[in-house]
Amino acid sequence: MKIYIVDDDEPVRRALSLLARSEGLESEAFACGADFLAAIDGVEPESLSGCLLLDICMPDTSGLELQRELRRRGVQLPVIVITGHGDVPTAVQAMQGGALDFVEKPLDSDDLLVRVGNCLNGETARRQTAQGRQEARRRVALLTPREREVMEGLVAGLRNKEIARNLSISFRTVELHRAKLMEKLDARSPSDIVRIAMLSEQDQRDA
Amino acid sequence: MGLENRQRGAQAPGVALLLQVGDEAEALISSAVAGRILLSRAGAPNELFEVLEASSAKPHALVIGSGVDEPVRVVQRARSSGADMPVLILTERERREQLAQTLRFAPFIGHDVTPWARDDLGQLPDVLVRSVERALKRRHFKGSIAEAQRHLGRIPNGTPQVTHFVERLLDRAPIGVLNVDVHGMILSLNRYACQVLAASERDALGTALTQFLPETDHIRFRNLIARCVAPMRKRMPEILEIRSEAGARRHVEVIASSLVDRTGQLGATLILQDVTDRVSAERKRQAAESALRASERRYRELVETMNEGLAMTDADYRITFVNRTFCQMFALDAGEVLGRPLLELVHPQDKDMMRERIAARSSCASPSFETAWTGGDGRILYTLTSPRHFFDEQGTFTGCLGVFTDITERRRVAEELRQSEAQLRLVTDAIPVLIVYLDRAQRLRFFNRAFAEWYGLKDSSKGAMLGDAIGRATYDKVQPLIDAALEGEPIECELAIGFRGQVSRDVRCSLIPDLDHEARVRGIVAVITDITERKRIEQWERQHLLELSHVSRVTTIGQMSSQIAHELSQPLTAINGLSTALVKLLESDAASRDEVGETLREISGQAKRAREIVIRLRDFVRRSEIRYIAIDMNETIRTVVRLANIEARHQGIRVELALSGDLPEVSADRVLIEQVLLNLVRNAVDAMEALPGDARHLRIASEVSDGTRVRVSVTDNGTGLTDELIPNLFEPFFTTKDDGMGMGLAITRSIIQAHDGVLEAHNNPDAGATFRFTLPTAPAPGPSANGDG
Repeated sequence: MKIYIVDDDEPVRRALSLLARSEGLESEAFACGADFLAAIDGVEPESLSGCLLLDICMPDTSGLELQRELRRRGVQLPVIVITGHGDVPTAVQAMQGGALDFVEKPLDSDDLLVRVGNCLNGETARRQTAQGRQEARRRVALLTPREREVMEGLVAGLRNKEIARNLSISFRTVELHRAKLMEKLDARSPSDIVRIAMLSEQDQRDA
Repeated sequence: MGLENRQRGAQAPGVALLLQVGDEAEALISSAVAGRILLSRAGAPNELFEVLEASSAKPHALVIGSGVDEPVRVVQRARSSGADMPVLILTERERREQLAQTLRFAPFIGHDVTPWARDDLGQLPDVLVRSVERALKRRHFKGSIAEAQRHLGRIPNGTPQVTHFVERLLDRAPIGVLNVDVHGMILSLNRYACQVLAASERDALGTALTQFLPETDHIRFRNLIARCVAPMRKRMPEILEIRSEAGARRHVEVIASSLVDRTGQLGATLILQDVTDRVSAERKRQAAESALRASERRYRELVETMNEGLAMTDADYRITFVNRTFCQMFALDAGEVLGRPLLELVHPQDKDMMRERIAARSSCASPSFETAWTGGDGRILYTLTSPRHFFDEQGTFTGCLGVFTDITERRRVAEELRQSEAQLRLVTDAIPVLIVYLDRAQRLRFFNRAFAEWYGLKDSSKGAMLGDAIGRATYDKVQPLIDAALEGEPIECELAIGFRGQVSRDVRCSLIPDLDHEARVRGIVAVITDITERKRIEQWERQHLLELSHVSRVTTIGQMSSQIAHELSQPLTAINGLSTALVKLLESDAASRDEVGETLREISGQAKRAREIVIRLRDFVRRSEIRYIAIDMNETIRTVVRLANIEARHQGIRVELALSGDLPEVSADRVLIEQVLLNLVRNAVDAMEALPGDARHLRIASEVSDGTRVRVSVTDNGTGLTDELIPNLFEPFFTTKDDGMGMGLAITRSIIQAHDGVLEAHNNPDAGATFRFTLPTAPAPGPSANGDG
């Protein structure tokens, strides 16, 4: 079990490593995806266990490309992507690219640890089973059509202003819908909306 | 001596007497005249005199040798003996002229004395022969008169009495009568003739009348004689001038008639009439006449050449005379005007005036007046007219004389001056600027309408004191300025002055001293512009720019919010992670002391990192007054790159800085210039969006331009500017971005212009665009340097 950390910001790498240590987890940090790939070169993909914390807003190699490369190599290591704050499209892309979960910077350490823990003990993967998807679909079904449209806008990474323009409704109305939406989906953050929406969509695709 | 023979008959040859003629001449003469003349010789003058006095038979000619002393005296002495004979005096050639002169003036020598040059002896014998013959003839003639008288004396019946009466009559008659022979020699003359000639009968007889006449009259006199001899000629009296010995001049009218007898022409009878008085009276009359003619000519010349036109009219005001100047002035020929009524020439506008003047004529001279006329070429003509009326003794008006001075040009100049003054007045009244002219004593000499309205003045205020016109309070304010301007110093300033004594207005005041040719101040031209509104607008614009740029900055930051958030999230993530980990490590007692210290330092470092970002942002969006300070452009560029780096780093843009090492500081507001740079950098980054990450290249350069300016250029290799884009580039609300307000470049340019700078944009030769701006180096006149408000 090992936490692999890929982040270009040195203090962030230090913090994440220390955080892993404080949880009694082993960790290894890399400044870029290429370094990580070099490190696991020659290692049997099946022998890699733990999880990968991948910052996907780095200037050089995009995190999404790294994900593709890992999949190509058959590495099954679960991936938690770290995105910029509110950078929903990237998060969505990462999830669709096979990431197990995502967190937004600035990171909340406790939240991160919980997600990492869930990831390591398979809880995250379990939630994404049929039951989890059904639960998500049930909540989404509670939404009015307009709330659903607002949710789709949010998942597309649109800002409230843009959603308002697209739907020809006022900014204030979008905010109201959004508050309602979070309540119905039992989401604690916009990120949760994205997670639930994606779960429900996965379900639809599977169905 | 053998002279007796000659007495015997008229045919007897004449006798010539030779006095000391010398052997050579005597031989020549004797050989040449032998047989024709008898020659007799005298050895000395005394011998000659004895011969002449003793002998009743006088010689017929005398030849005096050149050796004889005082030949003239000899001749006089010979004459006094009663000898009437031609005399030839031999002399040296060079002395001949002098001798002739002496003879001409010497008395008692008769008329027939001829000086003869000795070297001309060849002709002497012939002359001598002729002289002897002449003497013979004369004597014969004289003899015949004497004989006739003797004959008359023998006639009884009182015939001599008649002669006596005739002679008396002739002597007493107030006309001169004299007889002359064909040569003009006086044969006889009456007493009056003697008076006229101022000579005694004795002196006059036998002399030539011409000797009383001036040389110039000799020809006339001979002609007179010749004419009267020719019988058919009409006898016209001639006036001759007589000169007496004493030098008095008389004028004599001479009528000649021929004197003939059976033998033919003897000479002429001349009747002389003294017309001296008549001639002198005539002369005076002629002189007076010519003087009158000359004065009239001069007067006429004066009239023709004078610069004034002159015209005369008759009693009906018809023109009777014009001079040349008048014709030129009126562009008319004299022929065209003479006889025309003067009134016809008067211009219609003045006809009534002229009629009134004609009707009111009373005295000889009237004062001058201006008149308009119609010239011959149809043009209007103005004159100063000075009339003079003439009246005869009965007081009847006989005509008038007018003197005309052409004042057309003078009037035209005056009219133009009046017009240009009126135009100037119109212009100065039309402009919304106060204009006033003050003389040295600070009196208002001129002011335009704006000035009059401002201070509520009327035209009658001209000449008023400035202090009275504009009010004491305002005057106290401007007085030092006016005093300085009166010292010759041009003044330019801004100040607040009272408006109609109440509201204060901001004005720009220019005081320009008016100097004469010796650079003395004659007065001041003051030009006052109301800039209250302009200042208000300037203030508003400054405020507006400030607000707008603030809005723009806030918008920029808003647009950059995700990047800013990302930037902030890095240290926050680090802090959050480190502190959470540290707490856990401390709880499980798994951290060493050193590790705790290092972690805390790291946390502190990251907190500082976050704080700097926040401060930078806050400074950037801070809203404040425009503050011009000297700033280092390179430092500003680096700050902006740090701000923008957020974005650039995110997109993998390669940023190149080409900053000049020794850049002077510029005078500018730091935040505004940061905003300008950030706008340009963000635009550049946006322009390169379509390029792959590692192909994007941003270049920022600084350099010195023209020595007084700093130039900054921001170059990208993006899409560049389309032709459609370029003209609208700096227009507000023009944007190519979905989320743009279209204010970025408009505000950017306003900021640069407010800094007295220039912003321009152009496409690069290869790819992308370059935006470039210049700023003046510090210290420089900021936009609010005049009249800091």
